[in-house]
Order: sequence, then C-alpha cells, then structure tokens
Amino acid sequence: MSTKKESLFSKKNMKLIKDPLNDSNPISIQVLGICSALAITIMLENAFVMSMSVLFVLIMANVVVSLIRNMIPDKIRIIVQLVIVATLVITVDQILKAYVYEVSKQLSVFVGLIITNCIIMGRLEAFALGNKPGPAFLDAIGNSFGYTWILLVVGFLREVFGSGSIWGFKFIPDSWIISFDPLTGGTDGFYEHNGLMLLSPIALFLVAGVIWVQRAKNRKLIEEN
Amino acid sequence: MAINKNSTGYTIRFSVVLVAICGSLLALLATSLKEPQQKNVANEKRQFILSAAGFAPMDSLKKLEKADIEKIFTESVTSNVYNYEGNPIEGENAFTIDIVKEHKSTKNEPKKRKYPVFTYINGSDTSYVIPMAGNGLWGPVWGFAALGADQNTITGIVFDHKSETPGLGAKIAEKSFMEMFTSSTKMVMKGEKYMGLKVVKGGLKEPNHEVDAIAGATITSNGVSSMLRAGFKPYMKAWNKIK
Amino acid sequence: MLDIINIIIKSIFVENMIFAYFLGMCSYLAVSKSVKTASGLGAAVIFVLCVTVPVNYLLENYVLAEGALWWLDEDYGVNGSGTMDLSFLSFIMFIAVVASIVQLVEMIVEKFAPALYGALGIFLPLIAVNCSILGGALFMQERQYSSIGEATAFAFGSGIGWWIAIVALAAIREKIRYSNVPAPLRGLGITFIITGLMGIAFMAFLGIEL
Repeated sequence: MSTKKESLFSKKNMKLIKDPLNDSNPISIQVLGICSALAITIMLENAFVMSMSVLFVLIMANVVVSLIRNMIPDKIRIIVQLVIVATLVITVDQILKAYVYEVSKQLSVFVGLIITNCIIMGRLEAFALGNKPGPAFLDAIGNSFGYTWILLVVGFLREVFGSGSIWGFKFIPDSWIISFDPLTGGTDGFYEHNGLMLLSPIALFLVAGVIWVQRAKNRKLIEEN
Repeated sequence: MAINKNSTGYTIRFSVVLVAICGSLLALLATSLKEPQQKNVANEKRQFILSAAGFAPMDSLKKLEKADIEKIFTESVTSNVYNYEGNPIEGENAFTIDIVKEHKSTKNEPKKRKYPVFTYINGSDTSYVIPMAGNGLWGPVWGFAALGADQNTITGIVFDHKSETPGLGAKIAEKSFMEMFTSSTKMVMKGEKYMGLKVVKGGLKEPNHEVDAIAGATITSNGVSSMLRAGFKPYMKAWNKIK
Repeated sequence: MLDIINIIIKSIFVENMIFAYFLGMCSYLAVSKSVKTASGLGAAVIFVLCVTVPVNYLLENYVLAEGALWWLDEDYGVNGSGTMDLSFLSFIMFIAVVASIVQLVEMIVEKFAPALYGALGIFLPLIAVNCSILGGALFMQERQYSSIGEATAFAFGSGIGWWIAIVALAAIREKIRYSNVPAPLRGLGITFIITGLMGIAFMAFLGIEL
C-alpha cells in the first residue's frame, strides 16, 4: 500500500495535475467543454458552482470508468461511458431534490450541462479508459482545475464589466449609472454597464484573449495556421 | 484476461448487467425519494402563492417549517377552477393542477386548459392569485400573479423557471425584476378593454401595462411576456370584466 | 404545412443550435479547418438528428411521459390506477438511443456504402458526444411538438442550421490563412473570435417572430 501511495505523488503523476493547467488546458488547447464555458460565465458565482460540479462528476466518472476499464467491451464503450456519467449525475440530482431542495434549485440548470459537457467524455475516452484509478483521479483533478481557472477569469471579467459587481457584491453605486429623469428631462450619472458582456459571444472573445496571452508566453503552443 | 471482451456474447451480457444496475439504482432512487420530493414541490408552491398574495416576503417564508406553511395555507386560501370561457369547473382540486404540465399538454389549445385561482383572505384584504406558465429559452417559465380586491391591479407577483441562463434569463426570478410589477401601478384591464401585461424592450408605451425587458435575455423576456399577455383573460371573463 | 415550414425556418435561423444555444461547440471549433470536412460533419449531424429525434419522440410519447403507456393497458393511462411517470429515465434513455443509433449507423454505412463511409466514417463516433444531438432530443421533449412530423422538421432544421454554421466558419477559416494573424492567435484563437462575431450577426434573427 505504501509503495502505491508513494508512486501516486511521483513526478510523473504530478505532471498529470500540472499539465492541464497550462500546456494541455482542456478549454484553450483541447477544445473541450466550451458550451458550458459560454453559458454560465456571466457571474463569478455561477462559474464557480459549475466548476465544482464538474470537479465532482469528473473525479467520480474517471475513477469508476478506470476501475471497470478492463471489462468494458470496445464496441459499446461510448454508450457505457455516457450511461455511467448520466447515472452519476441523475443520482446526485435526485438526492439533492429530496433533501436539500434549495441547493438543487440552484444547481438544476447545471445538471443537463454536466452530462453533455464534453470535458467529461473527452477525459474518459482519452485517459480513464487506459489508466489505473490513481492516475485517473489525478487527471480528473488537473483537468477540472484547468477548466476552473479559465471559467473564473472569464466570469470575473464579465461580471465586473457587465454588471458592475464581484460575486454578487455591487461596487459601483447606483448614482453613477446614467439614468434618464422623466421629470426634469435631463440625465445624470456618467457610467454605463457594458451590455455586450452579458451576451454569450463575448465569452468567445475573452477566451480568445486568454489563448492569446497563454500562447504569447508559451510559444511552443502556437499553431501553424 | 480469460474472457474475450469483444465477443458478441460478452458484449450483450455486459450491457444487460450495466443496464440492470443503472436502471434499478435509478428506479430505486426515484421511487424512494418521490415522497420527500413531492412534499418539497408542494411546499414551494404554497410559499409562492402566499408570497404573491402578500402574506410575507419569500425570504421569511423560507424560514418557516413545512407544516406551518401548510397550516397557514389551508386556513387563509380558498380556490376555484375555471375553464377558458370563465365558467367554474366543479370537483377539481386547484392545488393539484400542475400548471406547467397543464400548459404543455394543451400547448396550442388554450380552450381545453383548466384555469385555477387561489383566493387569499386576510382580515378585510382579499387578493386573487393566478398561476400561469410559458416557455423560456431552455425550458418552462411560470409565475403567480396576485390581483387586488378590484380584480384588476397587480399587488404581487412571483416568477420561477426551470433552467434559464444564470445571470440572464434567470433574472426573472430575482427581486429587481419582480418589483417592477408592484413599484408602479400595473393593471390588466384598460377601461373596458382587456390588455394583460407585456414585457417590452426600449421604453414603455403603456406604463400601466408594460415593464422593461431584461437586457440580453430576449427569448426569456418574450416567453414571460406572452404568458402575461394571455394568462389573465379567462379570469376576467369569470369576473364579468369582459363580456 | 405552414407550421412545418415555420418550424424549419425558426430552427435554422432564429434558434440556431450554434449561435443561439452554443451547443455542439467542441466539434464545431475542432473540425472546421476545411470546407470539405466541415460539410461532411455537418451532413452527418443532419442525418443523425433526423434519425434520433423522431425515435426519441416515440420513446417520450409512448414510454416515458406520464400515462404514456396507455397502449399496454387502460390502467397505465393518465387517469388509470397504475399510471407511471418514467420521465426520470429520459436523460439516460435519450443518451443511450443517440449512442446506439450512431453506432448502428456506422456499421450499416460501413457495410452497404463504403464510399459514404469513407467520407463520413471518421465523424460518426464524434457525433455521439456532440451535445447538439442530445440537446435536440431534450428541446423536443421540452417543446412538446404535436406530431412526429413537427419533431422531424425541428430536427431537420436544427441540423441544417448546424451545417450552415460550420460550413460558413470553415469557409472563413480557409480564407483567413492568407491574412497576417498575430502568431499566438493563429488557429484556435482567431476561430473563437470569428465565431463570436458570427454569433453577434446571427442575433439579428432573434427579432423575427414566426
């Protein structure tokens, strides 16, 4: 047991955690999980909740698939993986609905997004199917954090400029906002929220910005065309 | 490994076992958790109705026990069900009508729909809570609108949704959106004419019948708008406001 | 008939899978380097949507929804004593249907139309994990189309919408090769920006009411 534990934190295994943060980031390099990155990064809090749900589901799914990897027939592996992910997610959803209804209401939106999140299928297919549960666990952690930091950066920028708040806390007073006074016919205030930030396409621009910075720093990631 | 895991027989056996495990797990969960889940849903519905009727704001209702909510509800709320023509339907339990399912199953036939109304009496105050449902961007949206004793002016409103985008369409369930219906006078009838309510972009033309849409959430706003535009009509017929 | 045309036009332009819902983004961004392959993937998506949505429609209306088992016995109907609501299984059933139909289609095409398989083959496994396919099934369930014809029209329109989106992007990407894009933005970065601009352009269709 102790030898196994030692190897769990070996250099090779630590690479499984570090790589997805940068060199093989699931969003900016592997192009996985884009749909959810666009849909829920309007507020920082939502981005965080989504990331944590992905962390949880990815760890569970990676470990379960890795445990039974030698039993799964090749022909039907995609169905098997999808069924396992869906079962996990629905189980959690049903339990939340029964015992912590408030939390389940907050999360209900994300349930569908998680099942169809290609980050989970992508990692199951690419990693869990061919590796032991230990490394699969680390791979899940690494990839979820790689996903998390991009979501948080995008969510932060969109919330600050789109709604003038951080984690729901408004730091721009209402009196600054340009408003039209119907009684005097004049306007007051000088600041306006950037409505573009609320639209989904802006998330694409922001992710492109992240990619730009990342590849400018790490030039070996640059593509041919 | 001794077994050939790519043989057809093994593939079939494996899928049968997997389906059996997953299926029974889900079926077990769904049946054993059904009761607490249904209780939660019913409790929330009572909270929505009481909060729209002005008994107490949603936040403080959430702190009460389920049994207390049920007690207050049965003591102060009575209900009726109408058809599209505004005639009462006897022998229907208004509370058990799932307004979202009702809306879905009679999507293009509003005439077949059942229209429940909850009457809340508190001393001399009376308000009529009208449930309604519509479609947002990703899934259903629904709400409870309370009319005052004149059966015309909005006194309270609560919206909810299944899966609208957080931060955009989901804003319909936030205070800032719901308060727009009560911070100035909103009415269903304009004189003798039925108007309903609308959610519009870029300035209000009929300030008593319109509220501002949510920026960036066009489809959700449109869904709420069409739900509010038609939702009051059968009740106005029932109360003889439109002939 | 007019209803059907409305549904098709609506799902191509107004409720475009890519630009209104941002579904199926991953393969959209990854497989849009040339018009030819993009068009192949798009065709496969149309085909799979047109098969899976009607199958899931039948499943939803004759097995999963509340009281949908009325054809087995009166008791299972909406007002029967044994009415059952199996909708908690819908996610898993839809996914299983999508994955198995994709696999089935792959085998059939390989056997009977090797030429088509050569063109489509490599994309078929990709489609099982394309969220626009499952999205199609879930939207069909949510919107309660009144007939299988309407559901198929919706599937066809969504597929066409996806195809238009990916072919347009691939065409732009083929041309942008001749532009001097900043090195770190080449490839994925500029594709994100193009998609964003196209998404904003498609928003113009939101105002259309059909």
